Amino acid sequence: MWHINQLNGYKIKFLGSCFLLLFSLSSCHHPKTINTSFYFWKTVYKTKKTETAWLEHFKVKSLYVRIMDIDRVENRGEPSPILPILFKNKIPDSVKIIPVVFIVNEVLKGLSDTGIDSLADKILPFVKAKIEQAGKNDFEELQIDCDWTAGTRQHYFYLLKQLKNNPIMKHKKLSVTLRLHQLKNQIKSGIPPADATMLMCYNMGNLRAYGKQNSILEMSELKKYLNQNISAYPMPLAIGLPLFNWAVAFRNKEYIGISKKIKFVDLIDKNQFIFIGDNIYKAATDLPDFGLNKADEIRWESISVDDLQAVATYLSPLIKADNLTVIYFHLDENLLKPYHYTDLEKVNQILH
Amino acid sequence: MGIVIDSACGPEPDPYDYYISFFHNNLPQKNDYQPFYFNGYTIMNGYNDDIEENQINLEQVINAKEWAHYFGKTVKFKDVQKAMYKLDDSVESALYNKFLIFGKLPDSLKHNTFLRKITSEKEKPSLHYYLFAEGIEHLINLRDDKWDPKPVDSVAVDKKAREAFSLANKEHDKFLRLRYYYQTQRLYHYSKNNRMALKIHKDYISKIKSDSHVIGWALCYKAGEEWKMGMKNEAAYLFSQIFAKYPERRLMAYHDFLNTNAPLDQVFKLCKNNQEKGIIYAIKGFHTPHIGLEALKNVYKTDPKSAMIGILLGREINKIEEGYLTPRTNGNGYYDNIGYDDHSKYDSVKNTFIKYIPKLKAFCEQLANEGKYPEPELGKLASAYLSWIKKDTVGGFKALAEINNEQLRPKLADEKQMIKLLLLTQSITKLDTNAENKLLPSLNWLDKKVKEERNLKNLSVSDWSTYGFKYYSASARDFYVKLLAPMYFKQHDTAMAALCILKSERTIYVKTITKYYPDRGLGFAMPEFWRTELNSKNLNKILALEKSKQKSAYLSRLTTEFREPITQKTEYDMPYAKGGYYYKAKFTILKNDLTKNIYDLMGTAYLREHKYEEAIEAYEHINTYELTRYTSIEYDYHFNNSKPYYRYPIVFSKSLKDYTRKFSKKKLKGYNKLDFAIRMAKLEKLVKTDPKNASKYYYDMANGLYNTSYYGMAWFYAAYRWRSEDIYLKDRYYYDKDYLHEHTAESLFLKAEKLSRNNEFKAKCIFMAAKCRQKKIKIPEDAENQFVDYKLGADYHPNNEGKLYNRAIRQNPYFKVLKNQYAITKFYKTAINECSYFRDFLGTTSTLSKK
Repeated sequence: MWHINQLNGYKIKFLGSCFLLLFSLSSCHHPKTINTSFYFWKTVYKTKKTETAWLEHFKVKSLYVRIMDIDRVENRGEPSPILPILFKNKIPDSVKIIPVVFIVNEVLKGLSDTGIDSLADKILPFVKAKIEQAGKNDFEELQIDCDWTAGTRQHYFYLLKQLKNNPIMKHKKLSVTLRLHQLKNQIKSGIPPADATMLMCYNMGNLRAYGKQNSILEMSELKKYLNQNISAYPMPLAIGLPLFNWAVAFRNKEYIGISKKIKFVDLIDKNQFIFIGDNIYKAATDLPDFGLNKADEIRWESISVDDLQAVATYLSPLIKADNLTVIYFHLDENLLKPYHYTDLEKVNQILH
Repeated sequence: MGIVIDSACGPEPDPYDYYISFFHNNLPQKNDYQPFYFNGYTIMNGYNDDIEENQINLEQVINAKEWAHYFGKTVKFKDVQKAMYKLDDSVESALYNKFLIFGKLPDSLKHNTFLRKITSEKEKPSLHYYLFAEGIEHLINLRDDKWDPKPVDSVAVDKKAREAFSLANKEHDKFLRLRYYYQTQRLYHYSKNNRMALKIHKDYISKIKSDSHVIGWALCYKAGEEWKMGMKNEAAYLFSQIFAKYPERRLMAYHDFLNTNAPLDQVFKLCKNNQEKGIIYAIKGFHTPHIGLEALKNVYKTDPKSAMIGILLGREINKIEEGYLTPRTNGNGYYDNIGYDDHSKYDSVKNTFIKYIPKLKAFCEQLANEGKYPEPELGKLASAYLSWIKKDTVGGFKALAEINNEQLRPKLADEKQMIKLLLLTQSITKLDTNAENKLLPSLNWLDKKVKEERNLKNLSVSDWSTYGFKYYSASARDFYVKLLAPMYFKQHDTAMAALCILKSERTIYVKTITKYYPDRGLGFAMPEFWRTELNSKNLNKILALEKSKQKSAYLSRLTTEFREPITQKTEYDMPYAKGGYYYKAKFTILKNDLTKNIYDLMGTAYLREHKYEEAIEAYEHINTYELTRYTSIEYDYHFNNSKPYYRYPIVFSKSLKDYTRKFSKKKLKGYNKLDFAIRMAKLEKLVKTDPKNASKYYYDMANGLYNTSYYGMAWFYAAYRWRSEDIYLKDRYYYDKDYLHEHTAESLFLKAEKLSRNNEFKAKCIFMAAKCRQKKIKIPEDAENQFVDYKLGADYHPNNEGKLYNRAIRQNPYFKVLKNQYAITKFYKTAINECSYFRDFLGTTSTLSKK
């Protein structure tokens, strides 16, 4: 299929039919091949039937597995692996592993070039050892996840270069995550020296602001960042979509954190919570198990199928590539419960 | 010379000494709850690294002692400690891999009584256990190398657990058997086989009767296992028990108890008695940063004999000291107003404390009177102290009187003395001889306490925590400067107040010499207050007091620092042969006599007051070498370990610029303060005796004053510290009118101009007068910042103050005089070239911004 820009590049000599051809080409949709994948973001990998079933159903070729975070312990000392993954089982043979390393932005500040060199030299052998624990001999792609800023850009890009130049990465692809603000502000953020990116279409709103917004995904927020810039980005882009939910807690309208323990079933328990309206619930009593006092509020953020479809509908015409990888965050049997295969199939269909 | 103190950042508060405290937190009998004393500045009381290291060290000591005790007198505890914990990694590795497995010892450790014991024929079981325990560490210990990707090999660990269990069952010796079972549980714990771990504990360890702390360590694992299996109430209960009984695991147990988030009512159901409930209430109390009686009352209700009551009570009083007493005493924020976010200034916060103090006092009385708490006198002491805070002196004395006949243990006896001193001071309306004599016994006692602390070398908490755990030194320091000195100030007795300030500052005094801060002597070594606020009258009075033959015992106490030997610490950067430097410090005890320091201050005060004959007389009390060494030079600190060179100011240099550094490397005649004073006195005389040249003499005097002002190269003849921000501050000191604003210099330049007939000279005098007049224009800080921004290319937008400044500086009245009267002189061109403001005056009357 010829890309529309290429067609424009070849000037139409025969006005009539060629013009018609151009017109029809520019106005018709060209289908894309959608590759579905998932992130695995837990610290222990254990084979779970449900999760394996989803991998099989969508013929997932590669699983993006978080290997570790890189941070300083208690904000001091050298950067080091935090909570590296433990493989209690091997990843299915049919699924390749794409190791993902999350780097806390703060770590990049104050690192000298020598420090960055050392970090790069440590990350790769560690990753390699870990993928062997996953039952794999090698990997084809490494992904680095970092919400870099203008202040850390130089160090981050240098780290990426050093990773790419490491012998372990020979003939391998380096991809990076890209947040919406980095897509929008390319001059300030720069273009990272990588082979591909994953555009994170989630966590776009103001988590800490009190209100009924959905900070994970809101179309109005998405549209502030995305337009034709997505197709103009000078690197192949995969798309990340959310499948998770969380309970954002407020005390006297001040953000106090995300509760890892509260599930939706807790919120609809009238002995524990009072529904205020929209997605807000108020603690009916002190709930020490959840770390909540009476009258603390929870904003429940989740992603409905409609939300996913809306995003897909918006994104589809903006993406011109022939192949598109959609990576869902993240593979967890509990998070997958609200969804059916057909829900994601529909999303893929819209994107197609 | 340490003259320029460039403080680019910091200081950071000392977490052990950032608020005023007279009710010391170390009153409990034992200090093993130190991390739980109140500290509003750190998470626990002190730095986490230090606390954790202390806990680890404590556990090592306990284990080593148990082993030493097990073997009896033939084995020294220190040898056990060394063998187990203090060997270098390579030595340790060799010991186990090459020697002990063969039952042998390396030569370097042949004299270690512990290692000799376990390698003896009879003690094969001990050696076997020892090797087993060492052999499993690499499987389960937290790795130092975080970059090692290998996870715990749970299969291997499980196998070792079974082996440990088998060994335990075969072992007859109780000491070793307990340890084998402990290792079994531990290994199962780390292989995440919580069920087996719990079973081992339940079926074996819990049935062993022993005082060994291994029992406690096994309980820790049990608590963790229960927690992981969802039994958080049981886990919380166990953590509370471990907290109370095992100091080496106290911190871990404390954090883990809180992290379980177990509801208290459920945990209480597991408590066997009220004492156990009391521990839980205490833990919650230790976790409460704000004032409140809840925890205290709950612990007292459930276990009135609990030792935690004393700690919780101390915490409440320290919170009041931090949040109320300190800001009230300081007049603004926290100690020395370090910039900490100060919420204490709000009335609502103050009122909370004011309402709380009587309630706490009532509790203290209850504690003292009900006879349930084993140390009721602590309640009375606290009650007396709270009365002092409330300024209820009568109530305070009453509470103290009620324990007058009690035999107090030393810490409480000392605290009583401290509170008595505070109440006595508070009861005094006028500090006369009677009042001073009343205070004297207490002051003598306080000095003794400070001296004891000076000798306690191991009390230093960290390199920079000067007062650390030196409680009475910190209290003495605060007492003299914050309580006693203000009373003298109120009585307008500046000399006595100054003596209090000196005594305060010299409580812990170590003169530190480095290549950046060389020896500061004479006036530089005195308190800031002495250097800036004492005029010649004050200083004369102080000297008279010091030299008086009828010096009272009270005055002698106050002036002990005049001759107290000084500790000098000299820090060096010592070079390694192959490059780089290492730190070395040398301590010397020096003789001391502060009278010469005072004479230097006095001479400087006279210089500031333009009393040169008197200045000469003052300086003649100081050895010339010292006077020259400390007052003539500017030290060049850019040298790295090579000898510094001295630069002598050319005080009477006729430079037209400010901040010139006109120095000579040669020690020219006349370049110490004495010689400066002699020269100025001579000039004063010459003006009268040689009137023909009076204008020149006036000019030289004016020049001398200018060059010893803030703007000159010999500013340190008039001051002891120079900071760039000094020119923005309002006049602070009695000499600022000359030092910052050149009043006298200006009038002398004008006199010189008036008496001269030489137009060139006169023009120069007017120019210098203009420079002096410029120093009277207030520089708004904003204008200076904006000027800097302007230079960097930013827009220049002066505010009103800035506009006034810009106008005034270009409308100097002497510019008009120069223009109207001296335009035809050669100097006029120099003036134009030297001064851009003068050029602006001549060229334009607009402000700097042309927008």
